[in-house]
Amino acid sequence: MITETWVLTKRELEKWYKVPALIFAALIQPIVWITFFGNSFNPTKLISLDNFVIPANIPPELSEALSEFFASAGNLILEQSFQGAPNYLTYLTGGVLSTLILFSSAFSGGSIIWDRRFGFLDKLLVAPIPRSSIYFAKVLSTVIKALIQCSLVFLIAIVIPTGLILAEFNLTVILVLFLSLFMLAAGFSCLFVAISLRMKKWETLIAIANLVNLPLLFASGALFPIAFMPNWLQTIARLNPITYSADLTRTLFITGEITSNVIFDFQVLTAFSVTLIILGSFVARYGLVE
Amino acid sequence: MDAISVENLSKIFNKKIVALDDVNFKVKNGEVFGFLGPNGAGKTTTIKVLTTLLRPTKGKVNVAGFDVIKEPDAVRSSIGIVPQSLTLDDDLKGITNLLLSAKLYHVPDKLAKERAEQLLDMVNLKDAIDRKVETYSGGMRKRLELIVGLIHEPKILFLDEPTLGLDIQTRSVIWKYLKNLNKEKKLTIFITTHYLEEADYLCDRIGIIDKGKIMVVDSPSRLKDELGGDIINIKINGEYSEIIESLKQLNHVKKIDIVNQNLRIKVEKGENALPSILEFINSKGIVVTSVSLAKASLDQVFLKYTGKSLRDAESDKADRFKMYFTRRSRTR
Repeated sequence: MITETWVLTKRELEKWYKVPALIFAALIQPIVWITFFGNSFNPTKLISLDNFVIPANIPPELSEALSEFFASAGNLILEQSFQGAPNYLTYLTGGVLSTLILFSSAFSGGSIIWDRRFGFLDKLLVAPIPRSSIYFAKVLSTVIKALIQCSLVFLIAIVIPTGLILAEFNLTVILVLFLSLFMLAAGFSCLFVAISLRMKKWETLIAIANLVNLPLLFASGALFPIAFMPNWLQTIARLNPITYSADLTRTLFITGEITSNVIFDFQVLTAFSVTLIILGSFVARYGLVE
Repeated sequence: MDAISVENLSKIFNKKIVALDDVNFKVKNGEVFGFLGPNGAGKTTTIKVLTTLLRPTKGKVNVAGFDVIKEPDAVRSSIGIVPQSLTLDDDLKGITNLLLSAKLYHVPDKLAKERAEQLLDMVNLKDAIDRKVETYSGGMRKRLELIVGLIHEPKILFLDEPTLGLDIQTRSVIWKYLKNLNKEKKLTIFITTHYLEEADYLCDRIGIIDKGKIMVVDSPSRLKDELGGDIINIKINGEYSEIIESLKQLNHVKKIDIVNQNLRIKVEKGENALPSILEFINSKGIVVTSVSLAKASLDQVFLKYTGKSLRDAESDKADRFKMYFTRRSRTR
């Protein structure tokens, strides 16, 4: 099972890394989120002294207090609503990485549709290999691709001016970070590969991916704290694994510590991925037919 | 023991479309078995059941001694498949495709490389093997597809329309490989085809299927013999009635009809019968204006059992194949 899965995973990766344009094309969107959106949307500038003129007729103590308030208001917002992130970009990056994983997983089923279309799947189905190895090769290759892309985006976020500012951290933090992103990717790929198992048309998958991508992005804590949302949206966001992955990632970026929040997020992600992996292996066994 | 044994096999799709209806046949070890039938007769469905891609609705199917439902993996390990549609990965090199398949059949790396060398020699693909498959011609793809099906040294090789859409040279080259494999390696071959020359040249026995039912299973020569011989068509200047009775007395002659004002004479061994028949008619002072001899062929056998000519079925299929190719190239 493991050998076959790895043989087939290698096939997917070989097709992928030989077309570097594909790899970089997939990076453009997250980089645009970070550099364009992350740098422009700056909560510290939402309230600043420049926009307000303090009336001249108020007592000097009050005017002094007011100007002090305005000077620190931006940082106060970052501290209270954005978990004390040193800048919005640092807050955002965790969300962008999670979204990147969602987007690449959403199209993970595509290659199984191509394989079906071009007959390669038939060859696999008549080979003496477990059906689930075909399924998990698709999942595993997607996860590996997504994690490599995440690492590249992460590095770019650090390198750019006014970019990601990291807290001090140790090896455990890196391990937890990667494991969580791995689990998010595994869960989503299991879901989307399962959806595509019997699909005959690539267009159907695109339609489904486009249908779920934006709602899953906005109904999560990827871009803003969910406390900003109306109650009903908060409920949805709490069911969305991206919320937990984004929260975990950014907490690690900002604090560099495994807080109780991080542990809870990690547990949610474990439950999410384990459930979908079990469900996926079941679906692969009975659903993967000619 | 039989290589393939099919007993009372039925396959019903969606509880109403009967694709196979109580099919029975056996394929002996070391035999080349041809499976013929018009489009939609159930050939591909049968192959899919035999190769474990489809579960039978009813019946018992054994391939290489294993039950296709109970021991699908044992069946899969024992068989090689050259499918009708192309199943190579265009994005990978020829050699990668070949070795990938070896890995899926658990052939050790070293052995796989040795076999790959030999097989590539056999089909003359050595020079192209480091190129991506997308650069291959139709004939090269088919040759690669063939050795991909052989890399794990299967006991039974399934070929679904192996030479469809190939030119006549490539086709005869592939026939030669298949014949050699059958002779030297004692490989059992199960082949579906629309080309009667192919069935005639390769197959020890053929089965004809129509509308999901097996019509007949026998050797090509016996089936042709059963047609009752060859047919001679003669057109003469004069009255037929005078000579019909006396013609019937001649050796070889089995039956005489008048069709479209021609004499249609069914004979054994047409090439021997023809001179004596002509001599007889001449001796009566009657002038023969045209003569033709139709040897008993598989085409006529096919026509007899399915009501369709093989050639009609073939052109139909070739068109669809062409369409598939244009569609495929457009999607890239």
